[in-house]
Amino acid sequence: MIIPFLLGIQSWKKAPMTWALFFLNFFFFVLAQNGDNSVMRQREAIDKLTQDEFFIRTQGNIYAHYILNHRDEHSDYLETLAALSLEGKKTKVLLLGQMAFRDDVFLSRAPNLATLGDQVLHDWWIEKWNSIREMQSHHPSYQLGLSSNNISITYWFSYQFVHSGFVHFLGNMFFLFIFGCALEASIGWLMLLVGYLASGFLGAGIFLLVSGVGAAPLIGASAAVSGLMMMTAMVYGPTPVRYLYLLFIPKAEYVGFVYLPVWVTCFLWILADLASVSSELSELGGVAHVAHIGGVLVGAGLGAFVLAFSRRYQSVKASSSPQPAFPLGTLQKFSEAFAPKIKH
Amino acid sequence: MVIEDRDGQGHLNSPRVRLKLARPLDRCAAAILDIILFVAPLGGFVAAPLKRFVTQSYFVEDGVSLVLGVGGFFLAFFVVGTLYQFAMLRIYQATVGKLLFGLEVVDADTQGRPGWGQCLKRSLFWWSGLGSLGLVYLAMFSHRSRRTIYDRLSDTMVMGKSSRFASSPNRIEVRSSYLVLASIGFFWSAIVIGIVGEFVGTLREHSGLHQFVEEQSKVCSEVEEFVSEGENQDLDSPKRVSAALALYAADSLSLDCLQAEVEQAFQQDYQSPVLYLAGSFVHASKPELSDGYLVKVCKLGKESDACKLSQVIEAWVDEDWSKIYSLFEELKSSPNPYVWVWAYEYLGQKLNLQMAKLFLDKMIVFSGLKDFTGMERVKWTWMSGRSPEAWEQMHIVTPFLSERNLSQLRTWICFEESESDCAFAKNESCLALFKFEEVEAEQADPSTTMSSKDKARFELLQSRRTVCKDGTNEIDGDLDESTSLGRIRQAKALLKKDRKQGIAVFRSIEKNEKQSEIYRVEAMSQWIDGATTKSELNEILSELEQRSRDWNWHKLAKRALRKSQELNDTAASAKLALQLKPDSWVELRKPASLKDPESQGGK
Repeated sequence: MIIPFLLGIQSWKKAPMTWALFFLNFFFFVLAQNGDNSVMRQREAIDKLTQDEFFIRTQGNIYAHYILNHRDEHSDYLETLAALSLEGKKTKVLLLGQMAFRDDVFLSRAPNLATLGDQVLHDWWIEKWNSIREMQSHHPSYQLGLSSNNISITYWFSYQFVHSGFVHFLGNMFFLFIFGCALEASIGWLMLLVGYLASGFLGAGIFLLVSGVGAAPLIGASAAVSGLMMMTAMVYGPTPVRYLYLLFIPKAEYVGFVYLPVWVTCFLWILADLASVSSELSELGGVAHVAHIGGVLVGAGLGAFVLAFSRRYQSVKASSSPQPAFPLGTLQKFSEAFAPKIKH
Repeated sequence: MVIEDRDGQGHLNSPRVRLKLARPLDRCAAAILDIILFVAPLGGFVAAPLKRFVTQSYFVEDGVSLVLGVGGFFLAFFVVGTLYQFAMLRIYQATVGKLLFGLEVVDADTQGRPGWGQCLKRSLFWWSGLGSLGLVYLAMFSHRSRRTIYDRLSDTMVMGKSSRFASSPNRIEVRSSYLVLASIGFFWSAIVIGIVGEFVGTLREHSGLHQFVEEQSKVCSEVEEFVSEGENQDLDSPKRVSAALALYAADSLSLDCLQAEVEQAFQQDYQSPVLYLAGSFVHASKPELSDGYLVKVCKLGKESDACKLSQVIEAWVDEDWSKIYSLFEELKSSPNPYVWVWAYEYLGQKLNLQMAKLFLDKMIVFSGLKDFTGMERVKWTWMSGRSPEAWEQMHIVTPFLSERNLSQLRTWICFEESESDCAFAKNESCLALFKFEEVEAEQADPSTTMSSKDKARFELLQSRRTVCKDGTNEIDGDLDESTSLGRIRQAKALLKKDRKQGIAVFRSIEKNEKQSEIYRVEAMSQWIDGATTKSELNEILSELEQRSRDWNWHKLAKRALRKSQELNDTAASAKLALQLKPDSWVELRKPASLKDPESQGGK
């Protein structure tokens, strides 16, 4: 495991905007988790219904009919899957039932869909689906997230502060601190705030442009944090920064810091996102990788802007950036080839 | 430490080479870094579209594409990893991980830059490290010059460039590595055995599943068999469902099969009252949905038989018996077999044997109900009090019944005969039943061949047989409260210690409508048998008042009558005798065993 650490987590005085952004995220996280008991109950109720096998199976059957009646709107493999479902293959029906949650066009048409076959079951499913929608309307992820129901500009900002769970929140906040503190020390609090909001805002725009609007809400600070990461890479350039490494060898010397450029993180992050975009089926994807890539692109633009117009950055960079060092060995040859501008 | 190579390889011994061997843990760490930073991300990126392809192939069950996709996925990783290694070794004599740890790959002969071929061989065989799940790396701890198999195959060595280098392994290190190798070998063997074991288990499970599917398809094939017969070949889906519903009512078709028939009909977009009636049974476990189906039945056809039967179901819930009776009167001329079966079962249970017979006779024309009709004729005759005739009928139908149905019939008769005394166990049906079940038990679990009602009857029969065998009424066996029989036994035992508590348990079983009717009747029977005072008997009679006047009520009332005579409670005896007179519409001809159990000799 090797993760960027840069300046680590700075104090409130040294990185006030990073902390402010953290507290804002924390506030919404607490609000969503514990703010109101009914929210928790609704979440449980939604989870219960969306995990109910009979409901999913019914939805899968209806979705299979829908796909076969709207062939031109669906891929060949979905058609095959629908045909297999209607042959009575239970696993396929359940799979389609899960996929249906992500087909916004289908879900928006659901109340007016022509009933096929079992009208009672169809009406029951619509009733249940309406109750899910009703419950979702009180759910913070749907209230603040960017989805087909909430498309206005306000949600392009609000979605950046909502998280689906503790792990989601923790991951994003860790990297917000790492890149936020380093960036704030270099370019100041105002540019950091602009970077965070602009990356999240335009990241959402690029996501909507590429992936389209969905029934499942887009939430989380990851697009904004991706933008901050790219800005850090642009601002720090090839200057090696601190990375924490842990190589799963139980000896002290295999845990510590190594110095590599921020580009390494960007390279791996973008690679992983591109890989995920090309490997995941849009009907099953749970992470908005396109929003990450959008955030990265915005971060690159803002970073270039800072490099071009900010004189202040030059002086800050010289004083605050860590000196490159390779405590475990040498990257001399590698550095000569790929990073000729490193100044030791 | 600088050491001299003395590993017995000529080219390393002469001329004497002074080596700075790389530290094994540094090499492992470098390999981890290479995997984390390059091989996994680059390989994952290149293989990503194949992952999508694999997922799609899996979903649509395209086996060939799936195999090709999985093969391509791993090939992509292999190619990317090999190219990365090869390029880095050729250009820098080290991968990024090695550069970070100050390691260098050299030609074992010259200690100079390795050639193209050596780099390629090393890059290709490097995968043996991952392929062996790290076992290959153990050579770094045991080999004299710390060379792994891919070092030796490519004739290269890894050297430490800085002050971090290692000596040849000492004896302890070598022995420890062998120990680790043996432990890992043992560990992997255990895992392999586990995997093989699981695989065998899965195969067995699949074979069991296969058998299950076959059995299921056999059951489901009953509709198919019916449809394939002559004039039924052109049946449309609603008629198929109608036939399936009749088979389901006769316990000859599972609920899953009925569901399959209903879903198939709906998929063809048929709209018919009978489909929705069948739907209400299929979704009986979800009351809100089941009710919706019943409402829909009458919306589609108010005068249909299905609608009338749905009204029967509603009246049943409301316990409106006169309405049910009048609805069945209207359905007398119905051509639908499912109506006949339900009408017969209801009327038989309510002891309206004459009208029940009318529906039973209609079933003769329905070939799918041959077994059911045969069995029910025997039961009907027996319930009509003509037990010798019933025995004759049973001998006639026995060769034609399936083992399951035969077992069901024997259980029913044996159970009914065991109500009064201990002689039942010597009766023909009981002897045959227990013999059959013993043989079955040796081959397979006998309960799999029985319906839940029959299972309950059989469990009670075994319990009664045990009590009769011991010649006492002492409670034996466990008093497991989680089972119905256990609770009845517990209540019976409590009657002797704490009478009030025992009665409370009996009452709770009787009041529990979710409890199987067979166990509720058994609880009441035991309570009646255990009554010691007139007041207690009156308490029982008030409970009996709340029961509907069906076959079970008559059995319990008769039992209570015997008890009242035993307790010299003339008032209760008179009341019961009056109540046991046939109702205006119930043509009750008491079964012989109810008339005088002692004189029947167990029959």
